[in-house]
Amino acid sequence: MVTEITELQLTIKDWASIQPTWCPGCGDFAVLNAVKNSFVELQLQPHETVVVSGIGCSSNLPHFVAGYGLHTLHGRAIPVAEGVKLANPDLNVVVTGGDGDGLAIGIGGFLHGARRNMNLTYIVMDNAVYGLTVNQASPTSGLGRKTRSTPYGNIEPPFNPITLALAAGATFVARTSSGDKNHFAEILSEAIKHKGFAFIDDMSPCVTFNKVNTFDFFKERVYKLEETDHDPSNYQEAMLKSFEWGDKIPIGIIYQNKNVLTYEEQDPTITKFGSVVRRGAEKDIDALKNILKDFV
Amino acid sequence: MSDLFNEISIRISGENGDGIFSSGDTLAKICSRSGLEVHASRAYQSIIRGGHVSYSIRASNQEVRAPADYIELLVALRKDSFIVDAIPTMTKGGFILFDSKGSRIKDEPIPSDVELIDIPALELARKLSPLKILRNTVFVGAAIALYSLKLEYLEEIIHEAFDRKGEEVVNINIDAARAGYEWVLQNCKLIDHNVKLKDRTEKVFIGGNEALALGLLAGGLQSYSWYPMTPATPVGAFLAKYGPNAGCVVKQMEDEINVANFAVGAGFAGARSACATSGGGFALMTEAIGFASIIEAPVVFIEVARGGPSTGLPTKTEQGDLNQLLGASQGDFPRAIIAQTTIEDGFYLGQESLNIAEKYQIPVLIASDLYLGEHFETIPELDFEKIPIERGKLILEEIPVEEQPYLRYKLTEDGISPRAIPGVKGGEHDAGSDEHDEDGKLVSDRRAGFPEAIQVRIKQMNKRMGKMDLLLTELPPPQVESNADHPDILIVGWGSSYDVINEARADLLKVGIKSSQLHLKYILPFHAKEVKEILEDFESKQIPILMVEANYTGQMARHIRAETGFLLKHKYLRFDGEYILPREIGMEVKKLLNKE
Ligand SMILES: Cc1ncc(C[n+]2csc(CCOP(=O)(O)OP(=O)(O)O)c2C)c(N)n1
Ligand code: SF4
Repeated sequence: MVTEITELQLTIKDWASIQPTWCPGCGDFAVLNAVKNSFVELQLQPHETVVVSGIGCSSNLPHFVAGYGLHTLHGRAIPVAEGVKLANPDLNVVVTGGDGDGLAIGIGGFLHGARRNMNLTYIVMDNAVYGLTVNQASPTSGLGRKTRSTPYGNIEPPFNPITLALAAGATFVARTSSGDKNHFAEILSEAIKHKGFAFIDDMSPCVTFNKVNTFDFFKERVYKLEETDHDPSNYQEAMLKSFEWGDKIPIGIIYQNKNVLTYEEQDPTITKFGSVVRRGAEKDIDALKNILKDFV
Repeated sequence: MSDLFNEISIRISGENGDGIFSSGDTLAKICSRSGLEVHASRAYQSIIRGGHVSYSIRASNQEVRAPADYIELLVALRKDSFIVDAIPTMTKGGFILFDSKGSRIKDEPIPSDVELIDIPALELARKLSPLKILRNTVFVGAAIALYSLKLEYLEEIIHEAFDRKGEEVVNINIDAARAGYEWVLQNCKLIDHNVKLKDRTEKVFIGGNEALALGLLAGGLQSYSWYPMTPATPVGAFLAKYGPNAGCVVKQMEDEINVANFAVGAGFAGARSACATSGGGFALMTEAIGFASIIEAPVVFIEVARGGPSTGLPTKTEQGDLNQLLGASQGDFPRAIIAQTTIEDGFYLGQESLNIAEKYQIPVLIASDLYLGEHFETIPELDFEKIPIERGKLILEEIPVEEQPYLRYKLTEDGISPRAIPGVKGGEHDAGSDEHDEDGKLVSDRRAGFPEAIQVRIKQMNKRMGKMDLLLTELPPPQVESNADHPDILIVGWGSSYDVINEARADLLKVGIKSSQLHLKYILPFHAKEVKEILEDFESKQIPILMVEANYTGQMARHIRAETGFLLKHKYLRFDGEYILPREIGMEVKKLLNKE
C-alpha cells in the first residue's frame, strides 16, 4: 500500500537502524541507500513494510533498515515473501539478496515468483561472486573468472538474469547500478509502485573479491535507457535489450507491463476476504458443517 | 475380527480406469445411509490405467474401526480379482459376483466353499447404452440386492453424482442399477445376514486426511501451501476446494522446499499456517522447520507417510518416517511431534496443533500415514465447540511508546515472548534465521565469540528449549487401557494403529486373552517418566509386552529406549506396505503367550 502524503512526513531517520557490517566501499551500501530513499519518497509506513532476504552479505540488509525484517534461509527469500504477501496483501514486501542466493540455490523460487506476478519487489544485489562464503563463482560470474571454486578459471557461461526474468514472465524488469545511487532510487520507486512482480538486477560491486566488475567497470559502460527511445512496454524490444552486455550496458526500466492482474487480485480467498490476517482466525461453524454435507 | 454374516464385508476390484473407487464409494455410502457403521479402504498402484485396484467395505451395527480380515462378497470385475482378492482373503461361505462373459473369466482359481454368482452385467448394460462403465452400476445394483439394501439410496446417489449432467445420464444409470437389482431378485438366493438395517441415517463418512484438513479449517487455518505427493494429496485437494470459502489461502508451490518456506512466511505474517507432504517432500522441508523454530513462527507440518525409502512404495503404507521426523533439521530446537491416531482424532488434532504452534510459537509436526490418511469411516458426531482457537501471546494492537523498545525475543519467565506481526505499529523487528539477541539483531557476524554474544546464545537457547518442558506439562500423558485387572499382555503402539490394536484386543478377549494397550500420540516432547513407569510396572509383574509398528527397525521402540532406557524385546513389525490387521496382531500375541 503506497500511502498518500500525510501531515506527518516520514524522513530518512524513520528508516534508520544499526550500522551495516559490509566491507567499506561495498556496492550494497548503495542498495541500502536507495531502499531508504525510495521508502521515504513513497512515504511507506515502517510497520506496514517487510524487507525479506536470503543469506549472504547482501541478505543482511533487512537488519540495516527499520520496519519489519525477515532474514530467511539461503535461496528462500522469494517463497517466504510470497507466504507473507498472500497472508497479508496489505503489506509492502521488498525482497533483497545476492546473485548466489537468487540465481543459484533460489532460482526455482525466482522464476516461479516472476511468473506468479504477486505484488513484490525483488532486488538482486548482483556482485557476480559469492561474498559471504569468501569468493566462489556465482551464476553471473564471467567466463575465465578465477575464484576459490574456479582456481583455473570459470568454464561455465553466466546466466543473464534480465532475460530469465523476462522469459519467466516478470511484469517489471530493470537493471540498476550501485554506482548511480539516485538513478537506482528512482527506478526502485517505480518498481515498488508497479502492480506485480518487479525485478531489479543491481550491479553491486564486491570490492573485496571481484576485481573485474568494479565501480569503474560499470561507470565506463552504463547508459540510461530513459535517455534513449527504448519502449519498455514492448516485450520483444525488451528481450533484445536484455542481450546487450559488453562495451555498453543499459540501465533503467527494460520492460514494464502495467496491464496484467496480480496474483492477489485473482486469488479466490483474497478476492473474497482481502487480507486473511486482517480478517483474523475464524471458526465459522455453520460453514464447516456445510462442508460435511459432502461427506454423507 | 470381522465376522461373516454378522457384518457386511464387500470388496469390489478391477483395473485402474474401471471406476472401482466410485463404485466402492457408492456402496459404502449406501451402507452408511442404511444406518450402519462403515470402514472403507482402497488398494491401488502408481499408474493411471491397468494394474489391479480394489475398494473394501466393512459395515456393521457395531463400530468398525479396522479393515475386515475376510471378504464376504467379492465383486470381481477382472481375472486378477480371483488371484489377488479371492484366493488370499476369502473364506468358507463367501460369494463372488462376476460376469464370466463380459469380463472373459474362464478358468480362474476359485477358493473352496464359496458361491459363484455369474451375472451378465455387461449384456444388461449394453441394452441401455454403449458405455461400458455402466456395467459398474449394474454390479452395484446387484450387490445391494444381495444384501437387501435399499435401491432408493443408490438412486439418490446417482442423482447427486449425475444431476448436473442431465436427465438422460441420470435415467440410464438408474435403469442400469435397477437391471442389476432385478436380475439378482429373479435369479439368486439373497445373502442371509444378521445385520440390522435402519431407517435413513445421515452419518459423516470421511477419510483421515479430510478429517485432518477439516480440523485445520476448524482451527482457523488461514494459509495452506502444498505440492502434490501421495498420500498427502487429499489434504491439499480438500483445502483447495473448501479453503477459499473458509478464509484460507491455498497455494500450490513449485517444490516442497518452497512449500515449507511459504508456510513459514505466512506464519511469521500472522496467519495460522500449515503444509502437508509425504516422506520425500518432508525431506526437502527440513531446513525450513528449524527456520520456523528459531524465528519462533508457528507452522504445522504434516507428514503422511508411505512406504520408503526414496520413492519407495508410493501407494502403500508404513510408519517408517518417525526417525526422519525426529531428526528433521539441524541443531537443537523446540518443536512438537504428534501422531494422528484415528480419523476422528484428525479433526481435533488439526485444531490442537494450530493452537500449540501459535501458543508456543513453534513448528508442530504431525505424523500420519497412508492407511490412516486414505481410508474412510463413518465417525461419531463432531464437536465443533470443543477446541477454541487460542492465539497465545499474539499482539494485534499498536504497541504504545511507553512500552518501547519492543523486544520480539524478550527473555520471559515461560520462554514465550509477546509476538507482534507486520502491520502492528511499534512492533517492528527483525526475524532472522541466525542466532539473535532479544531484539532480533544477529550475533553471528561481528559479535560472535565475544563474551556478551556467547551469553546471548546461551540465554536464547535456554529460552527456546524451555518451551518444550512447558509444553509437556500441557500434553495429556498416555493412559493404559485394559479390559481386565490382570492382563496377560501389554500391547504398545503409536499413531494410526490405535483402532486396529483395539480390535485385536477385543478379539483376543473372546478367546480368553486379557490385554492392556499403551498407545502413544505425543512423541515430542515425550512423557518419558510416565511411559517408563508403565513399562516397568508391567515388566515387574512379568506381563509380556508386545510393540506393534509398521516399519522394519522398530523406530518407536528405539525412541522409547532413547527416552526411557527401556528395551522392548518383543516386536511385531510389518514393513511389506500392507495394513496391520487385527487378526495378525492376535496371532503374534498368541505366539508370544504360547497359546497357538
Ligand atoms: C543451504 C545453504 N547452503 C549454503 C550456505 C552457505 N552460503 C551462505 S551465503 C552463500 C552465498 C552468498 O553469495 P550471494 O548470495 O551471491 O551473496 P553475497 O554474499 O555475494 O552478497 C552461501 C553459499 C548456506 N548458508 N545455506
Ligand atoms: S565481501 Fe564483498 S559483497 Fe561481502 S560485504 Fe565485502 S564487499 Fe560486500
